[in-house]
Amino acid sequence: MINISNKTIAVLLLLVLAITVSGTFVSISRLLSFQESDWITGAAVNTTTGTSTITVLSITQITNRVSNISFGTGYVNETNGTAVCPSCNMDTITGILAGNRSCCALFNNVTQGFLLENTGTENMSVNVSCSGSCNSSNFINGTSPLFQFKMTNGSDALNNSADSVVDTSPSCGNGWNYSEWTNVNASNFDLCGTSGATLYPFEKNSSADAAVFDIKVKIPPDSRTNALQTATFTFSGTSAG
Amino acid sequence: MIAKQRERWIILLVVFFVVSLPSVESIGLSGVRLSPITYVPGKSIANHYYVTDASTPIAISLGGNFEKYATTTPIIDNQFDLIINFPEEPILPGIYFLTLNAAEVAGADSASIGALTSVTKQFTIEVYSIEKNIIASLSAPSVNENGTIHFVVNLQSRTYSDIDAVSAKIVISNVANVTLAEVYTNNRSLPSLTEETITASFNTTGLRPASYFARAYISYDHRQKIADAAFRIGNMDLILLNYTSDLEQGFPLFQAHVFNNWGNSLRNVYATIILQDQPLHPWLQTPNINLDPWQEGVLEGIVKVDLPAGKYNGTIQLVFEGEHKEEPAEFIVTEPVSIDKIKSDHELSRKNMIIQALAIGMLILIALILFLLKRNNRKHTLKKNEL
Repeated sequence: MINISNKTIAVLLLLVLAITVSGTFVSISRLLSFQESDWITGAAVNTTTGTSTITVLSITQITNRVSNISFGTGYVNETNGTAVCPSCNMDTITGILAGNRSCCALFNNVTQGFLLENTGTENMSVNVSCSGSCNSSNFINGTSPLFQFKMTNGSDALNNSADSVVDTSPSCGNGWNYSEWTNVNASNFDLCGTSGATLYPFEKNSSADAAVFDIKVKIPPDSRTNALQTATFTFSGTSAG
Repeated sequence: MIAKQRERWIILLVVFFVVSLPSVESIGLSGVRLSPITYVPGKSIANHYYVTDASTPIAISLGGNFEKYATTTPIIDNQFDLIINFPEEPILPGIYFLTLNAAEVAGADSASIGALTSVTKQFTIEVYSIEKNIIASLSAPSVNENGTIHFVVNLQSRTYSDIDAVSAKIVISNVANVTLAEVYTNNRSLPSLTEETITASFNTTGLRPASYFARAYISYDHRQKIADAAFRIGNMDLILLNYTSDLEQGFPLFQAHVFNNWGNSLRNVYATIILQDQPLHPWLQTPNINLDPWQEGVLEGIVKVDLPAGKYNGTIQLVFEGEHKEEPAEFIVTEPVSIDKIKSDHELSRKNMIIQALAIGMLILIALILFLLKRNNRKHTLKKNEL
């Protein structure tokens, strides 16, 4: 066992102290090389001021994820008699109705309505107007035709896969108007909120910002043939400006 | 042969892609929000807008009852300006609207059932009166006992006329609506369409800690408006709002909701539950919390309840900043709903269902037997008749 004298310990302590102090001085001098004058590191050396500005824009935006509904070209198949096939019935929720498939010859089986999404930063009210052949007698013609629409929350719609974030909550404050099948006409329909009012109930939150505008048609066997009919729906979103 | 097959595949792929092209109609209109706009005679406002994501040509239009005072510049790179020039002549006071619409324009290749989108920004324009009018609100912060309240009356001019002098008398009353004091604010002018404040101070010495009301009677150029506010004079006190009185045997959660009735923070706040018949053995001591001025908080902890079911009297001792106060409390100890009981309930309902099903089955069987007997009887009768 080696005996270390107090003197040796004191020398060692002094050595450690010297190393520590000199190390501190080296560190400080190195840090000072970043700033030529002051002893305070990390402090601002210039007193110039900078101004940061930001302007957040308000965006009113409506997106229709399905730009057209094309039932295509076809005919009402009367081979089995009008008792079996009195008409061809289709809607964009279920497509060609079950039990009616043989009646809707060659028509496309469409199962996606117009999916409207509030893609802006403002809540909105929404209305729709129609131009072109905007009622059943113009669009389809024949005996007792139907041309109807219906609104469904994105969260409740059967086919809402086009929504950028599929909704989990209803999207229009007190509910969408025209939630039952309604005849299309050339009028202006307030789908969510009221035109001219300052309440904007169509939500902007991504989990509650979509709705589906579905279409239903009933084509009788005596409907007009060889004439392409068009109906254009304009969906308008209004927000505070 | 192989080359022909490849050609067919290419044609099929082309057709597939044409059919499945993403089809999205969208239009956006972005700009700095202006509403509500205060009508100032002769003033001009210009705001820049961007039309975003439109896939077809667009049309810009204006509407509303202020349409004639607004114009838009031509669209360049999907950007344009809206310019509103308010007239010099007076307009009847009220709320007016101006709408700015950006709409997609239909192309030639219309589908059988197609869709377009349009967006509208609706601006609200508030036209005030030349008649002198203000909107006023009173702010009365809570203070500690013997402190001084600084009342602030916020004034917003809603007129195109300057108001020469505005001042207020503030009446302080208690919850029983007894007037305790009156103070007066300074007097100042209020230029048209500006916002100002008037203030008054009140020393609460002599008033006990409680809730109080203040009503400001604001006088401006021989007219008057009223604004109300409530405030609290506080002391270093912790108020017990409510507590968990029903405790199940076992280890239930106890909670005491408390309120810091002081305009400063309270630190080291905790509660101790002491039962009347066990004064030396606290039932529970909750962990410490800190409360900000006038803040509500929850003192909570798991309590071991091994007492027989019944009613127990005790106290909740509230400790804060080294001070303490006691509140009488009553606890109801209940037996827990055991898993065995739930199981036996399930068993019983299952048995009941089986009995019901058996009974229905028996009834159906009896009905069937009766039906068969009746049919056999009828057959026998027919045979007898034939013979």
